[in-house]
Amino acid sequence: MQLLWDCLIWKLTLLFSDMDLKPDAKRKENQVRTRINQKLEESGERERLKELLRSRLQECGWRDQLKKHCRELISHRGLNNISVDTLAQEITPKARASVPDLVKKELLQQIREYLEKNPI
Amino acid sequence: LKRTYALIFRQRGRPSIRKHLFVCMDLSKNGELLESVLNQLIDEESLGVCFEMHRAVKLNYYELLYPDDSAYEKHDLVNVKGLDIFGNAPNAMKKPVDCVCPNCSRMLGAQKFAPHLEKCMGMGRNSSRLATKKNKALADSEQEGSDDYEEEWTYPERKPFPTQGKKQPKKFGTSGNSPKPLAGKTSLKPLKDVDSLQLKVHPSIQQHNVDTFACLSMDCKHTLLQQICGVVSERTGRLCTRSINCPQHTEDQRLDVRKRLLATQDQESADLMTSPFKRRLEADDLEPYHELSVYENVLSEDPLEGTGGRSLVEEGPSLLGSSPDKTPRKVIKLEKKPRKLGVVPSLPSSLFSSSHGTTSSF
Repeated sequence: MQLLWDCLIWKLTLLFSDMDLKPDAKRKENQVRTRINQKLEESGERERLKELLRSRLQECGWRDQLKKHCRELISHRGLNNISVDTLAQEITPKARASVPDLVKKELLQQIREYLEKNPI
Repeated sequence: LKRTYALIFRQRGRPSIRKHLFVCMDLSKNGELLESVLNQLIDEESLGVCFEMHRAVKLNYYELLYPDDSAYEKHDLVNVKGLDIFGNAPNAMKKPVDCVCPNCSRMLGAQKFAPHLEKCMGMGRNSSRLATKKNKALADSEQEGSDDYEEEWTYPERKPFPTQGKKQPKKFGTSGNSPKPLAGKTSLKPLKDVDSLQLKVHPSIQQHNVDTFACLSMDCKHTLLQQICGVVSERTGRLCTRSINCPQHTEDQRLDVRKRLLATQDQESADLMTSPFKRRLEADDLEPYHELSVYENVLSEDPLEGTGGRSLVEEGPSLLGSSPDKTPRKVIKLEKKPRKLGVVPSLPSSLFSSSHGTTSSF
């Protein structure tokens, strides 16, 4: 009986491992994420990572690219029709996409190392 | 995942399996979780860029950062003959004149205005004599013929010379300050009255040198020389403004001066050529010697000095026994000369008070 029950749970976990849009999972995920962020923030690691990311992005020209995109937007829309929200909405997806893989990998590596050293 | 599950199942009890489910989930979504963390960081960076641009737009310095093409055209190099590289003509630097002088109606730059006004009006410390000369001449000519000798003069306050109770408030603010270079030239009213270009004419005697004296009208000269000693001082070049009986100069000196100053005159001024003192005495029809003897007792000085001392007071007719319409002279002591007669002033008052109208009662 117990065995059957565990097998069921086992299947469920397999299911769950593929899906991450279930509300529960999402909630859990958020929880974990906040915990990770909290840990990073408290230790000051987050700040360091931010600085690292900033310098890497500046070096690879990601910032200038993004600014150019902004200017185009502004010239399209006109100087008076610009708000923070519209800018952010337009810019963010492009921003995420245009980050070079190298930079991403480096940063991920850093985070992983940190979490291994300081498990939650 | 299976392996870990199996391990957990074997090693720990069943209830703990569920607990560890979450751990498995963490590990499987490890990559995504970390990516989401990273994405958060990236979002923050991109927001930073957005804020930067938005701020520039809202605070109006976006155009400074990323100027339009038209802005570039405005500031292109200018390569035209006769203009500089910015497009300015070489004479464009001159500014227009700013101020109009109220006296001479000339246009002046702002920096030159104040000194010019000083000279123009003849009121400053270093102003030219011309202006004051003209002013004085103007004032004198207006005053010509005015026989208003009613006003009495008083000693400057540092020498408290009693004036028989008729002491009038000091009118001549600068009367004591002879060393002032311009004292004689300006009106003897306090100098703050600069605004009135027309100097208020006062029947006062001012300092003159030979030049300014020459500028005066004939009548002025005459009246002046009847009132003052007039001897030209070697040191200052000015006419002595003490009374006719000034102790510091002799009659000969006075005669000489009058000859010089009125050299071009004709018979009209012949009367001035006589000894001023004697002339006065005659006019007054008095017995001078009697009076003088009084002083001779008191003063061990020249009789002339005695009268000089006397004359320094306001001279009422009582002393000289002359007619009442003999008006007192106004002599302003403008020169700093050693005053030998410091003692004298005190005497006449006692004389006046005790014996008004009488000659002497010593």
